[in-house]
Amino acid sequence: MFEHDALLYDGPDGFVEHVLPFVRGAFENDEPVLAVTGHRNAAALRDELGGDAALVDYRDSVDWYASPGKAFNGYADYVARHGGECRLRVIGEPVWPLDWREGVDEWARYESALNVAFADAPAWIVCPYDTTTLPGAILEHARHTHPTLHAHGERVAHDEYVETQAFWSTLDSASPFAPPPRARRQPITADLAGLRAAVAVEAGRVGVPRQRLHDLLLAVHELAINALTHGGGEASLAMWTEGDRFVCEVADAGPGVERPLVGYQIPAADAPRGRGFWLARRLCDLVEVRSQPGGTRVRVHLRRA
Amino acid sequence: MAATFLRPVEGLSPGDHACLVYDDERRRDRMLLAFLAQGLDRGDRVVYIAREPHDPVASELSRQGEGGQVSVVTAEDCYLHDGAFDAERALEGFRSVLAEAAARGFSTVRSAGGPPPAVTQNGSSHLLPAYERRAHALFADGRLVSVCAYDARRVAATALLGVVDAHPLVLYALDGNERLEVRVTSETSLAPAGWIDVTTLGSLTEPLARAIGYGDDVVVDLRDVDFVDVAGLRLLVEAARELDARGRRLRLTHLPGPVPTMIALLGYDEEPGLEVA
Repeated sequence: MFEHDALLYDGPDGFVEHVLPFVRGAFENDEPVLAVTGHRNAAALRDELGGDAALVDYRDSVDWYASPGKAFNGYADYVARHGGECRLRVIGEPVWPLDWREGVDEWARYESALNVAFADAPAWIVCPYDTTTLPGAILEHARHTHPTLHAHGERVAHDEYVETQAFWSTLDSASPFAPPPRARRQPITADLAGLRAAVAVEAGRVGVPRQRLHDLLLAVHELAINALTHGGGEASLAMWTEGDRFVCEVADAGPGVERPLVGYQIPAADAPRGRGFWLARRLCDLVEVRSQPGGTRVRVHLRRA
Repeated sequence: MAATFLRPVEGLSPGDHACLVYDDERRRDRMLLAFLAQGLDRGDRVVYIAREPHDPVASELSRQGEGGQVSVVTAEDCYLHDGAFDAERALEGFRSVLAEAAARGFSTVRSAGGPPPAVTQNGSSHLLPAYERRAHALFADGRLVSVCAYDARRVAATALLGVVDAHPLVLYALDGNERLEVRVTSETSLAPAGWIDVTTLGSLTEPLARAIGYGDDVVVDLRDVDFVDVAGLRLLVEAARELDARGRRLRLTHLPGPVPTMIALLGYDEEPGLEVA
């Protein structure tokens, strides 16, 4: 059974005060512990655990939380390898992109999606939120995306949790989702090589690092194939820059895809489709999906040099 | 659906719903005739959807087959109603052939052919993927085996991708693609140059299948390949599985930088038949 708590804590001392009983509880039950957090909190936890510090598997949050797709698959792999018979305990503290609204929203969607995707996983995950540094909007998301709160190693019931689909819909309606007028647009045809060339030229012009170019081209290529094959015969690409990011959006007029899980879970080895969305989530810094019966828009973001 | 490549047309069995993408009538006719003639030998009920009433496949079938076992219908009669594409009529046609064949004691219906130019060349080609997905239900009880032939030169390219995707099995009879030149450097080694992607796969399928036919490991040198997409990688993995089943391996050499990462991300790094040099 999956347990997903938000821990609203008050600086490093608060972090240790609440997390320590959680970790000690795991030791008592012989449950493995994974701690994905920043250096400061990790160091504070190690100090407090003393001789038991080595019983926790620490991972650096900057690397682990490079993108929602990467974090999701990191947890899926970890649960598959360590979950087994006994429950796994996780401390998971994302790195919130504070100056980037779409990024914050998408990370909140990710937190919410975990409740559906991991519903049957034998894991208890506590997501710490530092109330001294995070803005109110993120703390509000925390309560909306976690079925329970956490204090001193215990789950705490609350009434602000919002079901995943409803939470995603609320975020959708809070912000319009249309490419800006300055975007470069072109129809997507079966000339996929031409499409890749157009994306490569534009990406080069706006300073996408060369070593990330293939990630972008493959993601857009696979999304374009999805749009062509399931997109109701019409598909288009829009490209633009937004701050330090390059954005490509693939739009189609198809019957829509099922959120939130599309793109997060790796398709089974012989599954017919789904690798396009999944690869896009793995390869790009951020992926946004809006979908309804009249069409789907998938937006991929990549940081510029 | 899971497009499987590398299956010869003679390797299809009841329940298989395959798509043949061709760009040459003579090769199309040769492949469909081989497929349908196999049905004559096996005592299947054989239905051919003809390009023209007396095309070479139709003539040969009427010569070889016995009345009652073989029917030839024109593509127009099968797919059109008042000159327009009528998916329901086409599906109903298949259902009634299946019912009739069962009543007369045929265990399998074997059909081949494809929609007429009136469908593929006017505005209704975008309806084909949805039609093929619906048609797929006809194969559920394993009594029908079909090859749906599509002319790559005449179907709108976007519709063709959808059609291919709607079939679990895809066969190709295509001449070379300018974007992928496949050099055969020995019986079991290939050196493709260009892009291995969903639009060029057809050029690699046949040389790969032929190389697998020899008794050795197969080597594919990727040094002149600029881009491999998921479909391209799956074709190579498919070949590796085919070889593994025969106790051999597919060796990929000189991989472009991003390909090993793709192999790992997609979980193909544990394929027993795939060796990355």
